[in-house]
Amino acid sequence: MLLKLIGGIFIITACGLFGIAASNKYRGRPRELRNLRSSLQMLETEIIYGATPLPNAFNNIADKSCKVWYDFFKLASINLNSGIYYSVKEAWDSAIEEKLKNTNLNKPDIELLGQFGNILGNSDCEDQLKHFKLFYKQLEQQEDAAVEDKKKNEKLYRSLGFLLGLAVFIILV
Amino acid sequence: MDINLVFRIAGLGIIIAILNMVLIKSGREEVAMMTTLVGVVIICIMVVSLISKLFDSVKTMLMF
Repeated sequence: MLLKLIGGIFIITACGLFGIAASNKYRGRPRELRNLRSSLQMLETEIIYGATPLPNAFNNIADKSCKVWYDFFKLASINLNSGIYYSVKEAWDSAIEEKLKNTNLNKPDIELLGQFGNILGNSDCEDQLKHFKLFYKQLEQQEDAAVEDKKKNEKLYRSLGFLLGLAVFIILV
Repeated sequence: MDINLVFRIAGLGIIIAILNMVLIKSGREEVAMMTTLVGVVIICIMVVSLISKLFDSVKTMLMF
């Protein structure tokens, strides 16, 4: 009897933790997108007003960004400085590949960011500014969708995990 | 015939009712319906042996 109870507690905690892990994914995404937007605003300032070269600009904004984007922009800067990539796009993509796969961002977010890397450093200030404006708009849409998803799914997954654990426990006992 | 089974069915029923409510509230009516259906099937599996026993006893009582 005692053994059954201990096993049951294990099952319920395991399922509950799975649920919490799933709900954390939805909680982190809006925050990361918001942080990305503020980082990019800093990048915009660096490009438009400071006219800083991209490797230095990445390095500067990395220092002011939070964890995920710190890693990302640092690596992008290192990639650009290392000289093994032919274009900004390649360095940018390799940084995405390396640092953003294990974050809460989903595929469309990452694709959007990848497309943005295409444009970066390819034209004059005014054109860059236009692309930044467009990207903010797209990012805002993603952010709204992320907030919507969070509202819909965060609580659901949390309770779903525990309830399914409880159901499995009752079926097995 | 043990009372345990009755409690198990009751507990499962409560949990499936809560699951149903949570899923409907987050706008997944079709998933909610599927969970209810799965719950019914699981409970059917749990009681199917008892039902067959009941049939057997009815049969012997009526001497078929």
